[in-house]
Amino acid sequence: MNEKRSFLTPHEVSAVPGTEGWERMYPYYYIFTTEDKEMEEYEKKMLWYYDGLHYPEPMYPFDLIWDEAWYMALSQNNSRIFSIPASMGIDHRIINGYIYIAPVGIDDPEVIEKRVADFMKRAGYYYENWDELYEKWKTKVTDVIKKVENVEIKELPELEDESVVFEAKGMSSGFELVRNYTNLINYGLEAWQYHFEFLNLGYAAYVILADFCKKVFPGMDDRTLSKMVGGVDVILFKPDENLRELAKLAIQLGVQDIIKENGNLINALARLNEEDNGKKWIKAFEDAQYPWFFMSTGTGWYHDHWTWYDKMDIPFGNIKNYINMLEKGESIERPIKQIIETKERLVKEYTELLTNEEDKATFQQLLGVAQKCFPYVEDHNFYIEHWFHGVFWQKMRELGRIFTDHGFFKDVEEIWYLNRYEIEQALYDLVTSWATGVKPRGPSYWRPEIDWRKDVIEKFRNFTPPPAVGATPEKITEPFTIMLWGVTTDSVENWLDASGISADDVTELKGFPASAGAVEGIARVIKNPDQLNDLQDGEILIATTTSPSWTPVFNKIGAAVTDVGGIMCHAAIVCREYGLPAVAGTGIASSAIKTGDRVKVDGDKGTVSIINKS
Amino acid sequence: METTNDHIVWLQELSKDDPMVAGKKCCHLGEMLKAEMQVPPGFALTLKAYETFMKESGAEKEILQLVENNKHDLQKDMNKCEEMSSYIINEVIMSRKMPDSLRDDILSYYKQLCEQCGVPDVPVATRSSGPVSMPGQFDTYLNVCGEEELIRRIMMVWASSFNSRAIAYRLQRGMVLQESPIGVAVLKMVNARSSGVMFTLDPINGDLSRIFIEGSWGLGESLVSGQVTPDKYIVDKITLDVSKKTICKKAMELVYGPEGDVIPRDISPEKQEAPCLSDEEIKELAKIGKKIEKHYGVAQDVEWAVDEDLDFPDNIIILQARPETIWSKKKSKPVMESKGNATEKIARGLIQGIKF
Repeated sequence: MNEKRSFLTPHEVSAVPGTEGWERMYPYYYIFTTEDKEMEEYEKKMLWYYDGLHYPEPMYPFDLIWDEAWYMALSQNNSRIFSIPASMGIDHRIINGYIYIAPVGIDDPEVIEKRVADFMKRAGYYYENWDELYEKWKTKVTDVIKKVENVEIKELPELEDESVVFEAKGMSSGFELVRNYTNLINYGLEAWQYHFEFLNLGYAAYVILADFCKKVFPGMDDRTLSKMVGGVDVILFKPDENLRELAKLAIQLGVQDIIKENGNLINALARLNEEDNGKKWIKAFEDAQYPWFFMSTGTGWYHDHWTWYDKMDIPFGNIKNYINMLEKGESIERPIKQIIETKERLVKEYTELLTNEEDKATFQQLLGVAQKCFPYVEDHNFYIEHWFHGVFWQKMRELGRIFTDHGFFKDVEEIWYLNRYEIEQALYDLVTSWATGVKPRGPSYWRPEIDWRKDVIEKFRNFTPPPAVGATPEKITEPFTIMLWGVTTDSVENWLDASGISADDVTELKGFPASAGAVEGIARVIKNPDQLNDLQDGEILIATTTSPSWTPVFNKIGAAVTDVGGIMCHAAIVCREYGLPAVAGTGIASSAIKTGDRVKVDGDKGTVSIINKS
Repeated sequence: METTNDHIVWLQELSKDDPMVAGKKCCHLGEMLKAEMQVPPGFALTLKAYETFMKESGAEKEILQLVENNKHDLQKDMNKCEEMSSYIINEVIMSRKMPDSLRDDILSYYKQLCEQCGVPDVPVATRSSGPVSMPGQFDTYLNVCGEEELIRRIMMVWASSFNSRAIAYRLQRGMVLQESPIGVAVLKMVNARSSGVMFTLDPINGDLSRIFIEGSWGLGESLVSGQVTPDKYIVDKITLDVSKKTICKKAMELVYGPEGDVIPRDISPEKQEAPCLSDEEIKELAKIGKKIEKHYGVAQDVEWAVDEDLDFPDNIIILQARPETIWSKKKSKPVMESKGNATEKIARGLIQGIKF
């Protein structure tokens, strides 16, 4: 029992055979080192856990940009801007393509006390002026989105337009392309600066309220808590709201049958265009798109999490569903009045249950701040991960097109195999070759490298990232780690229990009892949103993590199991909503369980048993 | 309290400020009836009735003497309690006759109860009701039918104030042995399909936002005596959602035999692992629990049953409710000491870290 168990040190994890040299795909500062001894010691004494919450898949070199963005943005806000008392930032590394993170704490009580004073002043200012500052935030963010939208990625001309001469511009399209790319990257990093301007303060308010509630009401349902703090007018609901309006309009205009009878959007639009009312509907459909159709089908973190603009059949299909529901007489409205009433009743009843005046006052205070912060917590994803990323990925594909035209890549989608620094170099190669009229080095340099990288990423997919590496801490109390990633003292224990056993030999997994109930069924392992269509009724969804845009599939699954996530993880919340069993934070379910296995999920105990291997 | 008779009262005549009239249980039942919570109809014998019986029958005198003579032995030797108890119950109390005036009163109330229920010799329960909480110390008799049986059982409840548990309990706490009057609640028997207990908090951690229910088939005695592992339900007090159900295998139940005695009965295999409450019953029960708690202003410990003969929601009967004693007695301490503003509390919370 007392035997000291430990994880591998980060330096002990070996490369997947055939991927040796993978480190060169990523910036050097992401690689665990044995050359810098002081750094090596530091790396050994930290607990690095796998961030499967954000990265269920191995990192494409370019997609690492958002990890780099929050590596800095989150950290600086904790450490240097708001002076979060006991936290510096979160450190990042990469192992075999998977991101590992380690929160850096502060232990010295004197330093912590000093930081409290600054925190009070600074965070206090934000909490007090939240609404006003949030309005400013929206302006800053929409401005940077506009800037990205206006970035021109243009093919290089054989001969520059005369305007360059007659307007005495003094610079070429080649230089502009280089500059525009740099701008694009900087706008991306800037957007992520804003992403974290409010986020940790918002989470902090929520986490401390949740912690208070757990202490006075250990059994309080997380869903109830989010109902008490949740906003009514949430931007993330807006895209779907537009689709519901379009469904209603289709019926009003009498064009619903055209929409229902045509399998895909293009055919439907062609038919609609033949009628006056159809034209009216098309106009409304077009008006409803911007910026709402930047809604991602995944989390928006990866380039292949396509938006509704990319996959128009998804919103179109939803409109059809809503039309069907309306025709069956079902209501598709969000019950706003009821939501507000419930919110007020919950707050009143919980307040009444508190048995002393101090607790009542604390509850009111913390709830007040959390309610103020929550609209931001709910809405920021749409602005950054959906809207901004959506535009950003489009621009990057335009750049990929230029590289492809110049023979650097076989197709646009190869651009993701270069990291952001490499693209800058490749682009310079491209424009200088354009300028000189000489053949670029790029094609012969990058094409074999990209082929190799594609193979490496594929091999990474078959690697099971250990849930953690590094030192085992006594206990974990860091609020963000627990709340967002579900990493607790217990889960680290469970991971240790499972370490040393090959994923193939695991027959029982432990995690968080995230949503009550027990069910048995066939497993379906989902590693990418594209695979969601394969889900059959009643199957058990097994995933590293799930995202809000997966919500529709929870209608047909029997239960959900995730590798990563705590009480606030999306799968847990939605399962409780739908009354399905869920176990979160198992660490290894998506690798230990294979599609077709028969599994039993016990959401009360937090266990998943593999009954039959397929 | 206004009543024409100081020996016997209808439950609804009692209120919660009257524990010295007929004991705690009776006045709680009265209070619940007033608050329109469904409890079985019935009446209560007051502490005064106990005293009258003990005095007029001559039992009190004899017991005083006995206790005085054996005082030292009793305190030294717990085995003596057993012996003494059995002697007092069987030889001193049960051999005596119910005084006539008391007997007439009881039978007149019983007759009215039978008429009210529309059942001749209506089966009733005679439940002990002490003026102070001594849970499980005194006896309760179920399915008591007919006049003579009723009189005998009431005397047995009174006599149970001298059972060995009660004697030992009082000795341990230095309480006076001979003066411990108890009331008796005489309640119509519920034809229990299922029964159990309910706490309007989570007994594991004192969480006031939850309601905890345990239940099994048939009469509640199987559960109280530990013969059956009951189903457990945890309900969210605020949303009334059932947050957790643990259905156990319940191989037997206790029911009333033809003689009115309680007998075990096997449960059919398909029923053994079926929940003893439906979801709507769980919800309704929790709703009632919430109402009772609100009425008294403190968390409650409730005994309930589902009456087989009645339709939902009238079938849910509250047999007893008393304040929960373990958690409610703990002094409520603020979770956060700091008197500061929200930002300061957030800062302190972040430093302390959280535990889930």
